[in-house]
Amino acid sequence: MYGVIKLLKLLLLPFVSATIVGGFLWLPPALNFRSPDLARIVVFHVPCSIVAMIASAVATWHAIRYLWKRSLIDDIKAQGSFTFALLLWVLTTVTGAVFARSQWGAYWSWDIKQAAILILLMIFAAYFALRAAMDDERKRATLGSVYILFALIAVPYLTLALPNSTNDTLHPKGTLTTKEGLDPRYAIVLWAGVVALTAVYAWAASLSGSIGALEFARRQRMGSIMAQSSTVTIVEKVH
Amino acid sequence: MHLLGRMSALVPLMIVPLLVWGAVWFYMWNLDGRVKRLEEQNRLDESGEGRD
Amino acid sequence: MKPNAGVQKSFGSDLKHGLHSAGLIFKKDLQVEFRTRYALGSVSLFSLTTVVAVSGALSSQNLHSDVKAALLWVVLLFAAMSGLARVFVREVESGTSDALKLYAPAASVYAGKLLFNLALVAAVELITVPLYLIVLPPQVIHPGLLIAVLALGGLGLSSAATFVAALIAQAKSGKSALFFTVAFPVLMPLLLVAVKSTVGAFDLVPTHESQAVSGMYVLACYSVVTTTAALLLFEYVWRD
Repeated sequence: MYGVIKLLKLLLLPFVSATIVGGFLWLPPALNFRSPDLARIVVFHVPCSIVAMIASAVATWHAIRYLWKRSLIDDIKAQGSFTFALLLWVLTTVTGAVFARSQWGAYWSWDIKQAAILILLMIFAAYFALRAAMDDERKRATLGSVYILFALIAVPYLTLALPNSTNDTLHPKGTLTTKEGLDPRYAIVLWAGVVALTAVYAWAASLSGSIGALEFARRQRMGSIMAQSSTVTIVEKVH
Repeated sequence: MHLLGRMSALVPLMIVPLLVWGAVWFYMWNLDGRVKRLEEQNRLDESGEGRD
Repeated sequence: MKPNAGVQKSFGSDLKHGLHSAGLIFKKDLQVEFRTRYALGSVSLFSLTTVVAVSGALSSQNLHSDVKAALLWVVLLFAAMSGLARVFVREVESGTSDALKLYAPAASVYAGKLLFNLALVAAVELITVPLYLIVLPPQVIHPGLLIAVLALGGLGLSSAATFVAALIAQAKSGKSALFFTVAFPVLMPLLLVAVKSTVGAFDLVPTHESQAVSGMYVLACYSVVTTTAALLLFEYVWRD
């Protein structure tokens, strides 16, 4: 099992590279766009948004687990996934802005989808501000997890419900789900990108979880060693 | 002709994410190794502890 | 309030006890507020100053109803925010929150504090809106629509802000800045929809009016979702 995962991690290098090369060199320029070459960023933009949602969901799951089991490891994992989710949402926003430039000429036009993603970024940023203001580790974990649950109700609303509630948006709709939406070569690179980015995120999340767990264990051992050594010195002094 | 002109513009643009990805992969691969070694060490420490 | 004697209680009596506690908390907060009038004073002053400043700077311009709607909500939001965190920050700073934790169920605490903040927001709206409509009159006013937007928007504002106030009350320092940082992103969707709906109340374009009516449903949903989430999660914030 461990060997298979190691092989997959090794294969990830050529796989992601192939996706990048394919996106730039293999794909034809997009039709009906102002800058057809720039529009190919859609094959990077969509994977970013999908994996950002996956990461947000994983963070929410760990937040629920923390509130249920009160294991600080869950909080470490929640914070890690939440950070990756924020990073991916930022990438989604940036690649979306480049796509906006290619489709309707301006990087930012306060389209409802753009305004919604900006609000989402602010909601994510506030999590870190909230954690930083608490000095107790448990309080940080509890309030952080509660905030994830409270504020992430907004994620499906801001990313799906709000922009789809009006037809007054410039963002393309239904291109992924309808048959004529996407040139087949674009579809291949796009979905390969989704698989690739999910794999990269999963690896990164497991790494950050392991590192967090190691640090946590080390801190606990430090604490117990210091407690042990202080009892030893007290005993020595008594004698 | 057109293809060559367009390609020559896109290739440098493509090199950047490619290099970034290479660096990220290398970093993660190394971290992976270090984490595995530390975890092994921890496991040995824990089973060896209690000997006083 | 009688502490729980370990007797098996029915849901009905639990609910009554919970509502009773919430009512008592609300009444206590009102009494404390009337003694000092601190929150009411600061929010009223804020809203009066802002409305006067805005009207002084802009009365010479002929403003679109979009701008007037947006400005109204900005003033309301900032004025209300300056007082909404008090319900929990005051408890923590005066050391009474531990006693409160012992004597009332968590949901009642949230409900009681929410009632107080609802009253505060209502007061802010009563002070700000008439004055605003006098100094920056919109082209037309649909009173029913406007009152509905203010009511639903105020409800959503109170329930989200009360919950965030509970979250930040335990911070070690910089509580008011933290309150703004955490509450504003959460309130932005509410703000956007409320402004859109107020535009419908301020002009005669029929599409704006239908937008306003659908916006009302969104505002109502926001309030329901926020209050439900807050009631479910408050236990964890309060008890840990």
